[in-house]
Amino acid sequence: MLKKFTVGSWLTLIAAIAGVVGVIFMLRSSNIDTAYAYKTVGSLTLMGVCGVILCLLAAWSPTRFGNHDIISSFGAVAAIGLFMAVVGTMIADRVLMIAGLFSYNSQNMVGWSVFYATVTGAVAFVIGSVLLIIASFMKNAKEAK
Amino acid sequence: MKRTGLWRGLTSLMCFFLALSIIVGNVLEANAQTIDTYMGTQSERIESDGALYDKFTPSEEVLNEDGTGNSHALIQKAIDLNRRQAYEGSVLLKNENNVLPLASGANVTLLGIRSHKPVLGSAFGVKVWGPVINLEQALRDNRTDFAHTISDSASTNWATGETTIGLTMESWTGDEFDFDGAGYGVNPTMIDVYDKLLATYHHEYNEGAEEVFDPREPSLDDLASVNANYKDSFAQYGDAAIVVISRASGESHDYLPGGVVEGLGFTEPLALSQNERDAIELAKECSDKVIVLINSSASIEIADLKNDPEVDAILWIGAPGAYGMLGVADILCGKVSPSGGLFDIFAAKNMSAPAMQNMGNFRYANADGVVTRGGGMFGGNTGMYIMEAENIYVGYRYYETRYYDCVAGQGNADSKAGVYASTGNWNYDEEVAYGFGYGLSYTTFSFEFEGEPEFKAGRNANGAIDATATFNVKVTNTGDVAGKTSVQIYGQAPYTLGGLEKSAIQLLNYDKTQVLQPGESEVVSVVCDLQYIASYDVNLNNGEGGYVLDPGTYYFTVGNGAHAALQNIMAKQGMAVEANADNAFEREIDESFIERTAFSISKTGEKIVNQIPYADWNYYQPGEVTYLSRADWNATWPKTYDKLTLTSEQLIDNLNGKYYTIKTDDDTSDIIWEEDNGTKFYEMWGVDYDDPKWEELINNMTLEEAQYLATYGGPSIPGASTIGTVETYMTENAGNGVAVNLNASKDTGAPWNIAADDPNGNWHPEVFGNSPLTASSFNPQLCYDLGAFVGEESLFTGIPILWGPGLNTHRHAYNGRNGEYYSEDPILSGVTAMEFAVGALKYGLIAAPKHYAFNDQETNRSGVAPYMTEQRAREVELRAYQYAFEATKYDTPEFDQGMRGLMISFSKIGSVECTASVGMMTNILAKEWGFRGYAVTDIYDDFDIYGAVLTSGTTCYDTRGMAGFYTNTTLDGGRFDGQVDGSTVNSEIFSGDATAQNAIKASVHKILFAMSQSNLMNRYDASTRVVKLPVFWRTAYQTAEYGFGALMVCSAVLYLVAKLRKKEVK
Repeated sequence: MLKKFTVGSWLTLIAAIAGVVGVIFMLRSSNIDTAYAYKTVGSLTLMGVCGVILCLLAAWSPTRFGNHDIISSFGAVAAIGLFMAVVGTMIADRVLMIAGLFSYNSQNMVGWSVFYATVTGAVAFVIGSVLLIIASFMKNAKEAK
Repeated sequence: MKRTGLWRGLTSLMCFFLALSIIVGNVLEANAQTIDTYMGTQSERIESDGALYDKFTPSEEVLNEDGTGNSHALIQKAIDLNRRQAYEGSVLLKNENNVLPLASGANVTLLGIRSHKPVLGSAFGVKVWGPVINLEQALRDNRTDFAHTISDSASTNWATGETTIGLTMESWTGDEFDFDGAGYGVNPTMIDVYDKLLATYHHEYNEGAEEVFDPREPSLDDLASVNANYKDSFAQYGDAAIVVISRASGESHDYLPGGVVEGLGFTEPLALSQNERDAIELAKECSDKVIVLINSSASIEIADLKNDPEVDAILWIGAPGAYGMLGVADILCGKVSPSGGLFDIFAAKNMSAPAMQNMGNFRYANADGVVTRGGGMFGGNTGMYIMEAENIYVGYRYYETRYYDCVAGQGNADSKAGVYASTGNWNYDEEVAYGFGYGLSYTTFSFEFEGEPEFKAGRNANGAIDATATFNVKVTNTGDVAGKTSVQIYGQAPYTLGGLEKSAIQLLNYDKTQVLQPGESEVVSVVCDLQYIASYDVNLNNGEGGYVLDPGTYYFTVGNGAHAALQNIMAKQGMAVEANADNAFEREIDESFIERTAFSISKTGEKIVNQIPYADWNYYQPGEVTYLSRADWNATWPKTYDKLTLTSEQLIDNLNGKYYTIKTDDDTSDIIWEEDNGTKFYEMWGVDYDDPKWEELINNMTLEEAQYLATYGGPSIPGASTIGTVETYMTENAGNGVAVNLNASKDTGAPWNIAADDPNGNWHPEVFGNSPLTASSFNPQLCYDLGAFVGEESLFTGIPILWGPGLNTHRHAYNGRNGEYYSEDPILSGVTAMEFAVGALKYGLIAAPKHYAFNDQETNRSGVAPYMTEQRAREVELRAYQYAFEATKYDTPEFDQGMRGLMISFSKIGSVECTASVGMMTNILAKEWGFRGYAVTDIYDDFDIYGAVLTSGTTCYDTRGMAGFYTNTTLDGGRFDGQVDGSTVNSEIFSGDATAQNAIKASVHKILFAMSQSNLMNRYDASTRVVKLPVFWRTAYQTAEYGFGALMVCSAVLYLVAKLRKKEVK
């Protein structure tokens, strides 16, 4: 299978790894303190994991079904949607905390830990999404000559 | 192949942008009100079919003839009032050889970088926004230059630590205003030098305290490096040299003992650095008239300046606000004679205050093992505490009482303990620079009691005692210029060595004269409530507790500050001091006049007993803490209580938030909800609190609606269909004005609304000086007028509740937030806050004083546990709130004034959160003081003890940014997950708890009652509704969502088409 991998395939695979990093840091930011637990942490985890699986699917399926196959194409789009949905939920949940850290609540060291974990997780998901977009424009399987 | 790749890639890209658009849209909608405030947009509007706005209207002077708002007149009124605040509040401390006033036409040199960039407001909290008049303009000019003088503040990059300075508004294109300045010539060379040095020594008009402080004052070498010949300018501008020394104040940070940058020639942040002292020496080179302006909300250590014969004058000016420098100029040039008195005592060394032995960071030795409660939204300070071992001896109460005992030769007052400035044993004259309440004038006054003071005592129908002493003081201007002065009445209760702790002197009340011409007299009547000279005895009635007025000889006096007052009393007592015994009055008070325990019945008729025993560390772990006692100053001088070990299970349980267990099986069948009797909120205007109609109204609600109001009702009044409320954003900061631009009003339907295109629409009403400046005026009428004006601001900005003013006590000078609080004295604080709040109510603004109570330092403020005796709590911090909340001055037989709003502290009282303290919130606040109104937590505080908070008497949470009834915010979990008792917050949580349901009803009653007396009612009738409006950001994100969504679908379709074609080709 790896013999058929292209640069696009590898980017998709790296996107999956970024998704894993995103999930880990999302969970980390949710578990630092009960006050900062995501209300929907279960759903967020599920979405993140599904996104990672879709990335893997998007990397694998062209090696079986050919370049730009439908499974990999919509798998990538769905993964982007899932990753960004997680990012959106994380940001929406953290807006008030972040506003506080940069004003009246700058002493909150726990908050800063949560902030760093949140930013790391969100950036990882966004990087994953961007890699998927780039990969979508590229060939994702070597075709037989 | 290429086309499938293109469409596939575009589909992914559009999906990404669509997701981004949705994220941005969700965040914008969730924070719409905040965005409206800061961007001046209006995303929704309250509409009604009826003719409204008939309950509260601005004064005619800020309206045009047709009733529309006149922004120019409003700003002019703010300028005039801030100017008055500054010239009434500034305190002349020294004026040798009458160097002041300095006549118009003088050529002066301003020295010290702060002369060019003074502190006008706080970095955070009570920031001064928008265009300002700085010192050089006030001294030199006669027209504002608002377009080029906009206040600024610093922000620090969280990642790099780099500090950048930003303006509080991008630009000012509105009106400019004429004013009559001091008419001085101001040395332009030094202005230029300091202006250039600001690039290196950055300063802003709004700054805060710093834990490791550097005043950033340039050295003389720095001055020379900019202009080697700068001293040449002194000859032309040498009529006087004016040096400005500043210390800032702000939220979140304190000054700390020893917290200074090394190598600057000072060891404490409120002492003068070497460069600051050099600036004063330079002033002596410049002129033989040296004037120092103290630009600070804290007591700077200026004993050296007091004793320096070459420093001619010292004028304390606080942080004077946007236009307050006009008032400072008025004093300097003699248009106005100064009349303020110090808000705090100015010690020679601030570390000499006993409170300073226990200030800063203290953590239980075993906190990590036993304090398991999380820190909530504010992080983990549950293991932090401070030991307020100074007992009742806060501020001047310590210095004056110890002075008295020194002279009386009792209590080992004349010992080494607590010596910081004395060369030998403790000596008042060396330890204190300027006393509380002290201030000079350009004229002189004589004070004499006009007749005998009138003592009255009578019992009300509810059993409470009203006992007052009225002092008629004839004040005569005995000098050569016009002026006014405060009339400060102090008292002394009889003290028995080793008995109940009592301050040797305490302020009882005050008032201020009108401007008196030379030779003119005025009789000022000051009514003193004798409950404020009573002492709290926790051991009364076998430990039940209560106030006592010990029989014996009481002394009363009028004086220029606490020290002069005390000396008058001492002279009356035959002690060897130089003072005016004729200004002191003695009165035997015994049970024939008033029972010893009469004040153990509150004005509401409630029996007063111990309510917060958990405030005292010794309550849990007896004998571990020694509180300061005048019985032996030496033996009880506070030690530093660091790393105390928790051993009491009850104490540990409290710290872990185990206050209240939500019940599940109460019979709640007699608690009425969903009655549907037709009563609506708009009908409640003017309805008394005790009117049964309130019960009718609240019975209509569902339990979920009521719980939602108690949960999220802090920042907004939620929409509740059963009673006809619509969700309305209704609160803002702060004590120096309403934090909403005129063109960002939440009430654009008001006839006086300032249109978005008004040239002054960008004006931001937070312009007034810091709180100590207001307090130092000792002028109740000024405080009322300030409150009333902020009330008018609220009508223009559509904000019916103000989170302010600050009403905590200055426990010591290092509290970074002292600029937001009035004073170290509870009566001065209480009177000032009461007048402000009652003035605000004139225009339907509910001023909610904060932070109830014991926010005694910013360090670890979220959850720190301050331990103290209940006597200390009641006689110092709580007394300020009591005075304001009882508001006896404004009571009539038909009307009980009171306050209508309150914000609760982040901190605990002892081991119990203030928000969850039934003693604080219900038994003292509501039952003893009769508070009926909105009592909100501080922002996001104590979410994890939901049941305890909502059953304590706290009426609602400050959930700023979270509200949105039945939309994105619900009662189910989320923000309130992680309860310490393991319970789950949802709309059913109180279904089996009768206590909680009744508490929720009471909370709703109090919140809605407060609202019903506010200017919110201007907008209410049967047809009131909220309409969403198409603001640009809403249009933008919606367009993006639709656009990217459509493009994504198109790309996907084209991808499929291309894919199918490719298949066909194959």
